[in-house]
Amino acid sequence: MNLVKYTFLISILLLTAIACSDDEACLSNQHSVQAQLLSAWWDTDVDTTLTEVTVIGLGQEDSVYNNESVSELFLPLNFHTDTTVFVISAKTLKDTLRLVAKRELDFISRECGYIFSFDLDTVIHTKTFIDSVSIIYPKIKYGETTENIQLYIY
Amino acid sequence: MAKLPKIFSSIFISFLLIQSTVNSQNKESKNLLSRDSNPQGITLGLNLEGPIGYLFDKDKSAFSMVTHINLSSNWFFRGEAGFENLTFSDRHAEERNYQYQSNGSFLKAGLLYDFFNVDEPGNNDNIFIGLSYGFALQEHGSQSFLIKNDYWGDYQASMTNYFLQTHWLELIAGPRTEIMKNLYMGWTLNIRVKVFQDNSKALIPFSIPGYGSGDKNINLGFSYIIEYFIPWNKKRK
Repeated sequence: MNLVKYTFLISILLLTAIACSDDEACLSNQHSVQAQLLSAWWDTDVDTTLTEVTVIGLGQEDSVYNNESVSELFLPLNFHTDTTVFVISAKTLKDTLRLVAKRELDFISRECGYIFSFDLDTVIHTKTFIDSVSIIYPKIKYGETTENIQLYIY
Repeated sequence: MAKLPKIFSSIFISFLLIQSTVNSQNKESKNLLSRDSNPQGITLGLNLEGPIGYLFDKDKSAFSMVTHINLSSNWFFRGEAGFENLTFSDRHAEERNYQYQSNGSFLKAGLLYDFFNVDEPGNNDNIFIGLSYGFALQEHGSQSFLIKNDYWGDYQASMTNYFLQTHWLELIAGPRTEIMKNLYMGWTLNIRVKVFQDNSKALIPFSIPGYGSGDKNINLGFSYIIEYFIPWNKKRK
């Protein structure tokens, strides 16, 4: 009978472990391009801060940022199209940033369901105060917080 | 938290089984017969895992039949066939951002070794350990799913039903006891390891019939089996 008892006890311990490890928290807002602002005046990468920044998606009424000082930007991508366009204003200056990304539908988990993952292909911009843009990590994936692009600012 | 009632039920049933094993052994020990090998024959039975699970999750209904066949004194063939239907109800609509439905069947076949050697007379109890191969074919889809986007607007779409198959290996261990003449009851702990799945789309099955959670490569499961023994080529003592 000892074997039966041991089997029983091990089973209960395993079941308890399963029950305790099954909860999962679902993350939100996992579809933004993370942009670092760098100074274009230096040979090496030096962080910079833009003041009085307003960022609005093309065709949108609400702003992503409204008259804020920023050293990095989180730019949410559009699920309905491969190209997402933002108008970035700093004081009286304006630039347009066009993000082209391939969308891929992913299923995260039983609890959290679907999400879009993106693969950033191209960034096109005007050159009022943005000197250049480099893509350093093109993947925008659920649960990752890696910087995707660097914006070099005049 | 939803799994706690299931665990309590497991504990309860396990206690019953252990107690019945003790009773069976005490009762049989009064006889002067001795056990030289397991009786030869075939069992047909029910796996109560699905019906018990339905008590705690009304979205899923599952049912399966189990058979054990003696191959030699300590080796058994174990077979199982069943189905599982799952449809998300409105009760969980707020906590899930997608609808889901799945219908499927499964087959399992494997070998068990009985290492419960005891000299008690007439004792036909077993403690099994073994390995099974499992296969499930299911049709599943999502009538509607929603991906939230507070700035550009939510994305809503659907995934039409399609078929997929899953293969897995299952390590089985647990006791079985004869609670009445020719009537057996037992439970097993099952460790299931997914080895292949031909899923061509993004949708991961919420549950795979006979396997469990579809998004895990290793699942632990419990089976509660009640089965009737049909002897052959040897008179039972």
